[in-house]
Amino acid sequence: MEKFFRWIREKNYFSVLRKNRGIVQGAAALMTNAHLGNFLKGTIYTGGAKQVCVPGLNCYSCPGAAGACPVGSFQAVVGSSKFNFSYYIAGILILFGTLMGRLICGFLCPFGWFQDLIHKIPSKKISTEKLKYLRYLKYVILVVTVWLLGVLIVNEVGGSNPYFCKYICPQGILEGGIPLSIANASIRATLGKLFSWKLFILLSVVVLSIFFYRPFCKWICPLGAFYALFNKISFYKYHVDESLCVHCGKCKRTCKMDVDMSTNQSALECIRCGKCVDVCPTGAISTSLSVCSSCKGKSTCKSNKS
Amino acid sequence: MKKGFKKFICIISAMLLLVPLAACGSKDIAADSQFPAFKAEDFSGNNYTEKVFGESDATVINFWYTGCQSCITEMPDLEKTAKKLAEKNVKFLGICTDAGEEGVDKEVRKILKTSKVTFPTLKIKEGEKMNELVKSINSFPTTVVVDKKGKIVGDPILGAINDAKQEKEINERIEKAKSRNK
Repeated sequence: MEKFFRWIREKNYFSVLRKNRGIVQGAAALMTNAHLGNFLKGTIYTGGAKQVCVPGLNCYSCPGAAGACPVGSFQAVVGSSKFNFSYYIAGILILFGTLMGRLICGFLCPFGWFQDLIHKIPSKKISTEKLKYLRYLKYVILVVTVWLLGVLIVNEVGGSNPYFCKYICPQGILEGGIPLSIANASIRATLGKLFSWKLFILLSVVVLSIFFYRPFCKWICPLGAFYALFNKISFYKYHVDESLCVHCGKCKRTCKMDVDMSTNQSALECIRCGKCVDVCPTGAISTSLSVCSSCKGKSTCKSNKS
Repeated sequence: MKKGFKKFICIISAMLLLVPLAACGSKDIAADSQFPAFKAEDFSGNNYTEKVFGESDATVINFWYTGCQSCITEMPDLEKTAKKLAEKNVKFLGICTDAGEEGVDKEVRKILKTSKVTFPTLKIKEGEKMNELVKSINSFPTTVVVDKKGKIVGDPILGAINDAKQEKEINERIEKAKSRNK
């Protein structure tokens, strides 16, 4: 197995994917929503694959969705009267997290891609560096709305609502509410205050995404919060060759997630997008699957040996 | 214009092109179609078939499952509705779509007891087309009105029946069902 990974590193195939991140994101979004015909029918796929979660934030109620949303599934289990915690979903998330960490946010999450696309709209881009404290909000959302409220606020039978999905998640409106209500008249007839509230959240995220980079991922996403905890221990990691790094600060200035790669390679906020790898003038930054960009895998490059 | 922005515009316009195509969705619980034949049992041991529709002027059927919190929350409201409808010779039936397994049935009994439900709640025993119909329901709760001859009246009503608008929708369908009987 180790040989295989060394071979991948040496051939540097992964850097091709990293440099074409938009295409990978689009392909991932298409694969997680492969049942395209359902968009026309206004129904959702409910087959066996829906028992398994996809890695990114992708609504179960998206007509095309091939799998379940991890956050939604977790809440569905906690919300049932029988359970207060879902070990099955937590286990799947720990597996994803240990393998990739927040690489999932950068490459596989459809809502991350959506925000990336919105951010391409030409406008003045504003740094979120000064809003750093808002990052901690997503951990509160993870613990409180995804889990605790589901355990504490229950109906007479002991069940509870999926509070995050119901009141906060903009992805549910984008992928579920909007396409289903366009294609299905009965669903359209039910739209009310809750839909307006969620649409307001979605529009806010869209507007903010034009000026800020990935506001939802930085401040709100409970799934990102969970994967963030695995950035330190995941198999997929970033490395900085200290002997090559000149501490010019270029990686920090380039990073849209406000991470200083030269000082902290396992930062919670790093979504492993790889922008720093490409801008590093000395080629000091490498990843677990690819060598630095400047050396192109030459054996003389120190990053090749880490 | 930036290259990235052009790409973005392309993707968005491609998505928008799909919107008019989506306007004609297919429906499994279609208005005026015959409600499929079935054999079912309620939680007091009584048996039901599609012949139940002939016994009253109209039948209101509420589809739910034990994992649907909105369905469980609306049970007391449905009980009130069922009592009101009984005065008008309209029958109210619940169909629990995941019932039939021992663990689930226990949960159903618990839900019916805590919500003080007295209208019959069915578990489907037989009926291939009935199972297909249940499978086609994507949103719960779904409520359907059926006339005396077993024909579905109007589109299914999705979501809890807990406001004036939803109640009006049901009453409209019941009136339509009654007018068909004449």
